[in-house]
Amino acid sequence: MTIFRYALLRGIRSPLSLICNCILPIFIVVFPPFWRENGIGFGLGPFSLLMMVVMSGAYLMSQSILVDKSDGAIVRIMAAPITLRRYFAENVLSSMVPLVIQSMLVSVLGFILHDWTAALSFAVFLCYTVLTIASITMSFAWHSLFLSNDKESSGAGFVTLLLLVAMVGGLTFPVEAFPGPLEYVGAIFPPYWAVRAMTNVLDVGYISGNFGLDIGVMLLFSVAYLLYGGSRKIQ
Amino acid sequence: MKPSVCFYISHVVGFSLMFSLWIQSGEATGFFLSLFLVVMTLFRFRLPNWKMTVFVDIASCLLLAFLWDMPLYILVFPLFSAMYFGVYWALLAMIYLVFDFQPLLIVVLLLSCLSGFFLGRWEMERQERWQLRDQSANKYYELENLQNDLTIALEQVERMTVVAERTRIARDIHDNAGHEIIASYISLQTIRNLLEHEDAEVLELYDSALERLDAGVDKIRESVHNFSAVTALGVDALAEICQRFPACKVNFHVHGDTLKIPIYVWNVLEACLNESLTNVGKHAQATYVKVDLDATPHIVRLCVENDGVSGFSDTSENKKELPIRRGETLGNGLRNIRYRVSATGGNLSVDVGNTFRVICVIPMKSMEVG
Repeated sequence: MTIFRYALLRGIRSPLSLICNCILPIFIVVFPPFWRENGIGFGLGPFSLLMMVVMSGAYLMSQSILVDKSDGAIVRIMAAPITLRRYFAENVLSSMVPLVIQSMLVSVLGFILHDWTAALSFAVFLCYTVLTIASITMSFAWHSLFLSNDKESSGAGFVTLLLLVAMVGGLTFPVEAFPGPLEYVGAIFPPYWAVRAMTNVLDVGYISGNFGLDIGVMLLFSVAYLLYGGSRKIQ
Repeated sequence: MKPSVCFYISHVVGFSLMFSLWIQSGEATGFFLSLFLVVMTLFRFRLPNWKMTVFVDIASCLLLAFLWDMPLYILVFPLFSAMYFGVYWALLAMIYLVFDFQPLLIVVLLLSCLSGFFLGRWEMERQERWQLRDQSANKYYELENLQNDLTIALEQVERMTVVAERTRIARDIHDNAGHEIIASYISLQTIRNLLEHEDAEVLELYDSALERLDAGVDKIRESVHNFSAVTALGVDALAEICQRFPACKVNFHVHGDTLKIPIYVWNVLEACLNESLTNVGKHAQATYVKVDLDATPHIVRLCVENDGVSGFSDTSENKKELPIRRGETLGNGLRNIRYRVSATGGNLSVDVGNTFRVICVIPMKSMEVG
């Protein structure tokens, strides 16, 4: 698990990553104005904000592969007796661990501070964890898709994509505001389904079959991203 | 344009159409199935050997159609893929349509099957052409290697011929002319005592002649020494190769008169022995090696035998390490040696029984004719 350990250390030692993965989510959960009726926020309010934080955190945590590509470490790693699959799996795991802990923390804090029901807390944990997985795999697919090894340009491209995805996925405002078929354009990205799942669970108050379907779609997205970006252009 | 590219382009177009259809309905189940098919397509794109997974696609489509009453048009994708990959059993899925008879649907599915089939055949033909091209390239490289080997062998034979001829000349001078001259020199030295009473001038001339003869003898001896080959030739060369083999002891036996074997045959025999012993060292893990050289008036036979096969042929794990197994072709080295042996009119065979034997037989008659 050497690669896992070093990827994890590299991921969490960056100040931006620490802010995104520790301070911001806790701040959003504990800051009362977010949770008032008609409080600060858009779309699903603080839930949307948390989703954006999760996606940004996933991108920041998953930069290890891009860094390995840009500084040439990947050549040395590939020369070592380690398979590409293991290298990739350990990187994904190292990105996932802090974000899953973060999702757990958010659901526990929500349960304590905002009187969430157990079902809602669990739904939040499940939804955010799966969104985390989907976001990480999307980031890895982005890194492997991105032709340039330049970290800055890849980051700029991904931020643009993130904003676009947030907009069409219903994180910034409800997708019903889009005219006609554009309402469904965001469906080709996981946040759309995360918003759907959270809306569903907030509406009905329990975990329904539709919630499960939305989670299933997000998991399928993760698999698709993994299959697409799993080994492409990593060498 | 490659057929595989057409295949994936058609999938992208198809999935886009499915997505646009989904937009009209907004039903999450439809999107789930579409995404599942995308994932399965990506899976087969990553792992092309897992063609049979199209049955999973078909089963999912049929199951969802049964449970949620979804349109069966979605079967177009898995059937198209199945025909493309040559999984023709997938056509059995059409039986389902007997219970839900829709002529238009059947036509659409048959069209997708046909287009998938033709695309698949195109890809197959393309692969076959690539394989043929690869085989031709392999043959070309093999022939090129063989040509290089033969060129090197020819140079070696030329060198060995020169060395052998020099050795023969040196031997002739030493054994015949050298002995005669030495005998004459000794006789002349004996005569010197009988000439004590002759004139001083005669003696001086005689001594001078003896000194010159002495110098001449020295020069002949030096020339003979210089003429003689430093490296071992013929049977000595084979013995030296056996002696230097590091893996285990090699028992080398010679039978018959080896003096009549021409130099270029020695060259082939040396190459054969070298290659056989190299194989033994690399793969066989033998405990003993026996080399027999039989020279008869009609043939020369070299047999290199080791117990590497019988020693570890019982376990399947060790079988992987066998240099040559039954029914398999020879490696490059032995194959090239076989060509060289064939060029001399001989034959190289490999026998895998209780022991592993490489047998090289070269006819003597053809050599004489040559």
